[in-house]
This record gives sequence, C-alpha cells and structure tokens, in this order.
Amino acid sequence: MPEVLEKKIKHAKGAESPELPKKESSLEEDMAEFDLMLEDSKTDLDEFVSSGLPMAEIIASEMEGEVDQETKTALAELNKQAELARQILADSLVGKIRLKSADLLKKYLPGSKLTSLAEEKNAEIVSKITAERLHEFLSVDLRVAGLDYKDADKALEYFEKHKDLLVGEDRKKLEIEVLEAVKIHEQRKAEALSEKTVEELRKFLEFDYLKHDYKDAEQAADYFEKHKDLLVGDDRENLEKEVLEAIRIRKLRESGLSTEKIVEELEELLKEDDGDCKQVAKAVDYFLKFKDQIADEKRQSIEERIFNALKYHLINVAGFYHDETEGLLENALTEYKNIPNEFLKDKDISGIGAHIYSKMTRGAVDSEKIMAAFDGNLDLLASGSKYQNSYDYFSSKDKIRIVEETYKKRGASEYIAKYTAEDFEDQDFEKVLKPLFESYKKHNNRAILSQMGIMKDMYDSMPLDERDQLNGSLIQYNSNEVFAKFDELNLSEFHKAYLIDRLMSDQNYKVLHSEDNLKKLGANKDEIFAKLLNYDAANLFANREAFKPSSEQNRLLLEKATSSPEKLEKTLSAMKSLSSSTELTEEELKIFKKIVKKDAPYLIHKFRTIFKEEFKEQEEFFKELPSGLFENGLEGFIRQAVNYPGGWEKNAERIKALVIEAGEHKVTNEYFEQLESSGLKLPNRVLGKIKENIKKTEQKNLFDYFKYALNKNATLEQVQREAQQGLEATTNNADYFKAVYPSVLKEILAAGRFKTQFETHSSNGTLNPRYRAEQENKMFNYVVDENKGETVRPNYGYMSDNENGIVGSFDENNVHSKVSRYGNIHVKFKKEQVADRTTVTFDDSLSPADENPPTPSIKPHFSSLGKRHDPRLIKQASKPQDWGANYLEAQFHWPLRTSLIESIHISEKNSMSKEVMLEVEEMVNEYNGKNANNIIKIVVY
Amino acid sequence: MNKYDKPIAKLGKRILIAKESDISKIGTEEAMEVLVEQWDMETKKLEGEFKLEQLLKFNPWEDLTDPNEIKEILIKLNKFKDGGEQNREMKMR
Repeated sequence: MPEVLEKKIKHAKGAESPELPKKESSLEEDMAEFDLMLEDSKTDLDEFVSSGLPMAEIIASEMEGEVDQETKTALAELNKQAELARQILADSLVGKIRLKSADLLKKYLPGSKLTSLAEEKNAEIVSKITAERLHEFLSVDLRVAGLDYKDADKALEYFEKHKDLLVGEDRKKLEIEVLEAVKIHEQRKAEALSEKTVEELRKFLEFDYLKHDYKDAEQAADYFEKHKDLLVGDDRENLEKEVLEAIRIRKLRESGLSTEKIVEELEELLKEDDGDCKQVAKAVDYFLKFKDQIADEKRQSIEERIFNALKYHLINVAGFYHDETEGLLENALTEYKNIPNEFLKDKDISGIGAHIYSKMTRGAVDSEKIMAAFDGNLDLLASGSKYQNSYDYFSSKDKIRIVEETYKKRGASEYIAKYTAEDFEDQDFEKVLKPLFESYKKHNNRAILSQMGIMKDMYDSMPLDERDQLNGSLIQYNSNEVFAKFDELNLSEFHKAYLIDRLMSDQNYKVLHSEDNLKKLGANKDEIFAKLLNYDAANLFANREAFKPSSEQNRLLLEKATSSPEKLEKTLSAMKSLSSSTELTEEELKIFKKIVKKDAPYLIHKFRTIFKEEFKEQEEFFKELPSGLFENGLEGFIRQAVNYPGGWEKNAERIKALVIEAGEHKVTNEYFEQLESSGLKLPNRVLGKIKENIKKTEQKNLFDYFKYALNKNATLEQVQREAQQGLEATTNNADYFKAVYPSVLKEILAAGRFKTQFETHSSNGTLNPRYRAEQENKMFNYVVDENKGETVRPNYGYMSDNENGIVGSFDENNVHSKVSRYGNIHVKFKKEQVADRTTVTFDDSLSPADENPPTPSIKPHFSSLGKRHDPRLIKQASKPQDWGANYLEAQFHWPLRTSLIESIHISEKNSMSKEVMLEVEEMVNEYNGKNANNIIKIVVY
Repeated sequence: MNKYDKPIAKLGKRILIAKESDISKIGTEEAMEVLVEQWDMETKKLEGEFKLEQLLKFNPWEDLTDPNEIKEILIKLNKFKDGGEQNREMKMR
C-alpha cells in the first residue's frame, strides 16, 4: 500500500503546478466588477450587523439583576456564536477582495512592489481555499456515511495538483490527512476484493458438494493458491481450512467407500452445529446416496443416528432459548423442507410440532413458512397437542389441509379440536367434516360438545340407538358441558335423569338451584331437594327460595345447615357470597347466635352483617376513649381488639388497658428521643422517612402485638421493649459486611467505591430497575426516578457476628454461606465509620419494603422485624436461619468508598480456588501499594 | 418485547437470564417473584436459580442491550445446556 501511494505522490510531484485562472477582460470591466464586489461586500456586512443578530451582551447587561444565571449563560453563549459568525463572514469577504485585488495588480502592474506584496498575501488565501476544497472531498462522506472516504482518490489527485498552492501548516496537515484517507479507502477495496474471492472459491466447493464427490476440490485448491494474497483478515485462514477439508473428503472418496468411511464422514457432518439444520440436511443427502454401500447391520443404527440428530436439531432450534435468535428456526425449516420424503416417510417425528407451535405463538416463525416446510408431512403438525391454540395462527384453508392430511395418514386425533364453523365453510362435507365427526365419536366426545355448532346436522341425523349411546358417554364425562349444550342435544328421559345424577356426583349443584333448570331437566323438585339436602345443604339454604320448601323441608334444611359450627360457617359464607335473598326468621337467627356464642365466637366478627349483633358494652367503651385515639387512625385496631374472639367476655378490662396503652406509643416515643441524640449520620430525608415508616408499621401491626400481650398477660410496653432490647444487642454485637465476586472487587478497587446496579443499568434495557427505585423511595425517600441519583443510592450488604462474615451453617471445614449468591469474598467495613450511616432489616428488605421498614443499625426499631419473625429468636446475626431469614440485611447510605474497607476474607472453603485467591491477594496488595494510608487487610480463613 | 429484549445481565464472567415464565413480572409489583438462572460462563456451570431483584440490589449487574451480544450468549448457553436439555426434550415427547 505505501509503495503505491508513494509512487502516486512522486508522480504528482513531477507534474507542473497549474496556474491561477486568467481572465481576459478590460481594465474598465475589471474595475467595475471590483467596485461591484466591494459594494456587495459592504452591503453583506452592513446587513449582517443590522440584521439584529442577538445582541446578547447588551440584553444581558440591560437585564442585569432580572435574569437568572442560566439565562445569562445562554445569552453569553448566543453572543459568542453571533460574534464568531460575523467574524467568519468578514474574513471571507476580505479574502475575496484581496484575491481579486491581487489578480488585478498582477494583470495591470506586473513587476511592481505592490504586486509581489499582494501575491504574498494572496498565497495565504489561495492556500486556505485549496485546503477547504480538499476537505470537501474528504469530509462529505466521512460525515454522512462513516469512514468511507470514497473520494479519497480524487482528494489525492487534487492535492497533488494543487499542493504548491498550500502554504505553512496547511500542506503538511493536508498531506497526512489525504494519505490516511487513501489508505483507509485502499483497505476497504482490498476487503471487498477478498470477499469476492471467497465467493468465487465457494462456488468450487459448494456447487458440487456430495453428489460429485468434491471433484472440483483440486481446482478449488489451485484457485486458492493463486488468489490467496487477495484474501484478508480471517478469510485466508478459514478458506484454507475449507479447501483442505474438501481435498480430504475427495481423497477419502477416491480410496473407495467402506462403511467405516461413510460413518466417519457422516459424523464429521453431524458434529458441526451450525444452528440452521444445514449440516443435518447434508448428512441425509449423503446417507441416501451411499446407504446401499453401508453394511446391512449398521445401516439402521446410522439412519437412526441421523434422524435423531434431525429431530433433536429441530426441537432444539425451536426450543427454550432459540426463539430469540433471529432467523434460526426459519433457516432450519427451509433446510427441513429440502429433506426428501424418502427419508422421512416412516419416521415418527411427532413432538416437533409442539415446539414449532410454541414459536408460532410468539411470532418467531410464520404459518406460511411452516406449511411450506412440512408440505407432505402436515400430519406431523398435529402432534403439538399442547399448543392447540397455535392452530388459530393458520388460515382456515391451511387448517383444513392439515386435517385432511392427518386423516389420510393417521385418522383424526383428539388434538384437532380448535375449529370454528367458518373454517369449514365451502369445504367438502364428506371429505372433511364427516370423517372428523366420526373420529370424534370414536375418540373424543368432548370435542363434539365444543363443536356442536358445526356438528349439529350430523348429530341430529344419527340413528337413535347410536345417538343414545353417544349421549350416555357425553354425560358420563362432561356433565357440565352437556348441560350447557342441553338445548342442542336430544336427551331421552333416561339420560336426563342420568344427567342430574352426574351433575350431583360432579358437584355441579348450582345449576340445580333454579326452578327453570329443574323444569328443563324434568326433575321432581322434592326429590332434588332431598338429594341436595344431603350433598349441599349450605348452598341450598342460601338458595332455598328457589325451592319454596315446606315447613318440614325447611326444618330439615336448618338442621343440616347448622349441624356444626363448620357447617354453619359454610352456610353463612354461601349466604354472603350469593348475596342471598333468604331472610332469616327470628327463630333461625336465635339458633345461629346460640351456636356462635357457644362454639364459634370467631364467626361474630366475620358475619357481623348477618347477625346484626349489637355490641353494647364495646360501644360504651368506645365512648369512654379519648377522641384523639380515633383521629390517629387507631379505630380499626380498637374495633379488632374489642371484637377479639372470646376476648371481651373473659378479659374486657385487660383489653381496655391494652387499647389505651396502644394510643400512648410509649416505647416508640422513647425510641425517637434516643434517636435524636444517637449521633446518626443519615441524610435528613432518609431519617424522616424512616420515622414515618416506623409509625405506620407499628400501627399496622398493633393488633399482633396486642394479641401477643393479651395471651402472655403482659403489657404492650413489656412486649415491645423486650423485642427492642434483643434487636439492639444483636446488631451491636455484629460487624458490617458485603459479599462480592473477584471481578467486582477489582472494579471497586479501581473506582475507589462500590457501585450500584442503578449506575450500570441501561435506560433501554429490560431489567427495569423501577421496582427497586420505588421500594427505595418507600423505605428511604430516595428519588423514585431510577435515572436520577444513581451514585448516591444505598449499597446493600449484611451483618454478621462471625469474624469472617460467614452467614448460615458452617463448621471448620465447610461453609454454606447464605450470601454466597452475591459473591465469595466477604468484605468487612470499619465498624466505627459505617455504623452510624447504616440501616438494617432482619430479612431481605424488598419483600415488600413497607412491611418491615429498615431502621438504623445502631438502634434498630422492633417494627423492622415485620410480622414474620419472632424477636426472641434473634440472637446471632450470623445465624439468620434461627429466625427463618436468609440474612440480616444492611443498607449503607452515602457513597461506600474503599477507604471504609477494613479487611477482605477469603477461603478455599467458600468455593474459591487457590489461583483465584492468589489473584485476589495480588489485587489487594496492588491497591495497598497505592494507598499507604488505607491498607486493606487480607484474611484467609 | 422484541426478539432481543431477552432480559440478560452481566457481572464479570457471570450471566443472569430471566426465566421465560417470569419475564412479564419484571419491574412490576410481582418483581420479587422473578427467578433468574445464574451462569458462570467460564466454568459453563449453572450456579443456581435466584431472585432477580435481590441479585440486582446487591451487585452492579450490567443490563445488556446489544442484540448481537445477547444472541451470542444465548447460543453459548444453549450449548452448555445441550446434554441435559436434549434428554429433557426427548422425554417431553
């Protein structure tokens, strides 16, 4: 390349520099033109100035004190741009005038001093114009289409011709630029040539593949040898391999084909997984061509081997991950289409259909492509029983084709059930619909029910005895659907009675709760009532109006519906869910209440609307309570407390005391006071939110604390204080950690701080961080927009009282760390520096964030526990399994810098190889070498 | 969601890939139920199924968007799965 360029440059250098264009004109004409130009230039400049381009400076000074800093900056910028524009215009005008002046001087006053002076100046201007022209060549395509430089040759030519006009830096700069451009352009041309050569060579290799035994392999090799210099990049290496492979196969053929050799070649073909079935298709071709030469005993197993590869390949390509890889399935189907029926005819490739269908529903491949690929084997498509809905993606015409072919080959099967009447319009009744119906009769009665609209004519024309037989079978398996299609079916009296029996045994009682339905079924109301009484008294009671029961029937029904508290609960539920119109008589209500008071007080609260119970004593108590309690949102809790099943009757006084105590929030108020003086260094907005969440959660969980205190005969204060003290002791005895992978540690040490996923997420990605941003907003008041405040969001870690930060089960030899999914290096932080800026939850904080709010680690609030965990079980931060959690989570606020790291803890016991441990040690030592004031200890445990 | 919006995240040599059935839950109220497979691309091993939101919370996973990179990873993963997957597919039949 450089030689060629140098040649060109040398040649260009030899050429004469062109002279400036001469103009044959008179002095008068020249002067007139000159005057005109001067006039024009003045006008242009005047117009420019008077055009009132933003006199931003003036505006800015006039508005001083009235505009904000942002506006001022914008005005200043505008002013700068306007000034620049004016300067460029002025320069250009002056340039033109100078050039003209120099021309005129040279023409009319050759040899004068003035001429040589003007020419000197002129040279600069000419150089500038030349450089601009060159840039035009070089930059137009550069700007528009990337580094194409297709005009680079022209640029070089222009440069060579005009380079003598370039003065000073212009020449050197331009020369480099032009040569660079030519180089890139040449490179591109070479690549294109290489591509063409590869294409040519492939023709030798592919055209005669298999059928002609690579007879052109030698020619391909010749061609390769001759043209290999034209190949650039990977092309040369890849082609060489391909050619050598062709020669290898050619030689193999020449030496005669034994079974072993055929197998060897087939294996060669099959081992390539090119993702589009091409290799398998080649193997099929190869097999068909040479199968007669394969020893009999081996033929079948080889055929199976190829067939399995084909089957697996299609399934795989349509499988779990492949739907996202563009075109793979389509390409595979194109190749599949070319596989001769001769090979496929006796094969069972059912199962493929299911996978193909699943892709159709996701739009990874369209029905036309599938129809084309499976042409002649359409019955295989019916194999996807799991994906019946996929049939909807086929046109009616295609569906019929699949049906027809399926019948021809296999008879109808249960999987073809998703047709609509329109699909069968204009179709051959005898050929399509009748066989379908016959097959349904035989195999799948349910399909007839779902297709009654289509099948009715055939159903009606069936011989009576045959239809009766079918009806019996339909009822036996599909009572509910038969009832839904009752009007379309001709059921005998016998079968109507049978249908009622089946509806009962299938527990479809509700359809029998209607007078109209009973009439339709020709049922005896009293008989049905008697049966339902035994099977479904609860719903019958709620619906008894439909049966207009006699007083004796009603008595029996009441007895059944209330025979136990459980039965009563069912009855009450039925009444509630059916919005029953059944009115309870006073007598009935009394019976209900009696049962409830005696055995099931829990039902009072649940079915209060039905009982219309007046809780007089409780209402009295409400009146005694200070109104402030209700205003503070405690009304719900108080009602729950006073209605606590069985509570009021036994412990009214204790309940009253607990309710009043709940309104005082003694422990939490004291907690807030202590928090003020604890020296916490949390951002104010975070601390404010934490307090708000504590109040909310405490209120939300108050009933649970209440129940606990009531049952333990304790006060709320005792219960809460005990929890509070336990949690504080646990966190104060623990250290602060984070688990990271070696690759992450490397990044951290290089960046000087821990990053969060908010910093690495991509706004057009799919791992939407919105949920976490929302939770962080709920927990800490961090901004809900996930694209803001990325660098100041909390970092997540955990606490452990194990010196090496292990959490979970472990002994001397084994570590089953519950934080291992986050990394196998445990980073310990300087407790004295992070404790006051960290919050904790006693389980994962995200599930959901407002049920167990994070509170400061140096003073965790009992509400951080949420409802799930028992505070008495929380003793050691390293053993979260004791209280049923995964870890005691820590949320570090403010950027988490490497200067806060005290040590890193690594071990072979924690899934880390010796090599990786060494790498980590080196990494940390390197960091320590650069940060003498902040040495990170390495602890190997 | 287009073909290349398969949610994949990268952290060093590790890859997270969301379970097909859970993809629609990402970023919603049900986000905590989203499970992902964590693969070590170096050792070609599946390290387990974890909750996506928890993993993202603790580490700066990089959200991949380049369709070519995603395609490449999907194909690699599929190869890792080859053995087990093939058996599973055959059984399904």
